[in-house]
Amino acid sequence: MSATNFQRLIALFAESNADYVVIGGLAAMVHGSAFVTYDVDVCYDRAPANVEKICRALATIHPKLRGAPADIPFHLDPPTVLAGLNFTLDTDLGALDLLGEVSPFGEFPQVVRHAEEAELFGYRVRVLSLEALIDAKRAAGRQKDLLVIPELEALLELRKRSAE
Amino acid sequence: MTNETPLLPEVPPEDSPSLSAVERAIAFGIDVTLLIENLRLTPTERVLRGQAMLDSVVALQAEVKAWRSRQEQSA
Repeated sequence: MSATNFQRLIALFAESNADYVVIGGLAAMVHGSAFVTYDVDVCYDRAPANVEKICRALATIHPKLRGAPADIPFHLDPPTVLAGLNFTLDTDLGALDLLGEVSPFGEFPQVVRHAEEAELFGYRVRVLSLEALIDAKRAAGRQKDLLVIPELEALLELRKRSAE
Repeated sequence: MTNETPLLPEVPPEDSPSLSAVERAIAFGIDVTLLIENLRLTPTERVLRGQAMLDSVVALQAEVKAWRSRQEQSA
């Protein structure tokens, strides 16, 4: 298993000109979290033209369903994406989760309202805000999500203190 | 039951409403100095640091797997 390449995945998405928001552990890292994350999670816009852009970009890194038997045929094309919602993928650049919706917000049009822009590797990238990330972790409710909330809340407080 | 003085001072529970978020994080076991350090970095630098940590974890996992495999072969 090779490590997910954050920089190259960020560049791939940024150059695709697709609409998406970076969420999950990578978003937490961008905000200052010290937790190690293994994958890149993005919430993507399910408008057909956008799905087309994402599929075209991802075709270059050979996405496969993570954890699925190798003999199960899978092709990440627009009909497949539009027939599904969330995809956990293994790619040439590592683990990538494509999410059509994020609890408690909903789909991309709602999620993007809770995003802010960050400059990453020279690209302007939409990242879920720290406040929204806390809400999403709380809504996900799994042990691994709840564990990071105290750190994210501390980051929020530190950021507010430094802005005062 | 005795009224002995506890060896350690009373630490408020991490969910105490009287604590700030930073105090709660410290009580939870978070190293807040790491967060303060991260906040001094740019977002790109934070991701590069996270990448270095992930690379180390993955390399360590590979080492452990290889070591286990050698142990099984020699057993």
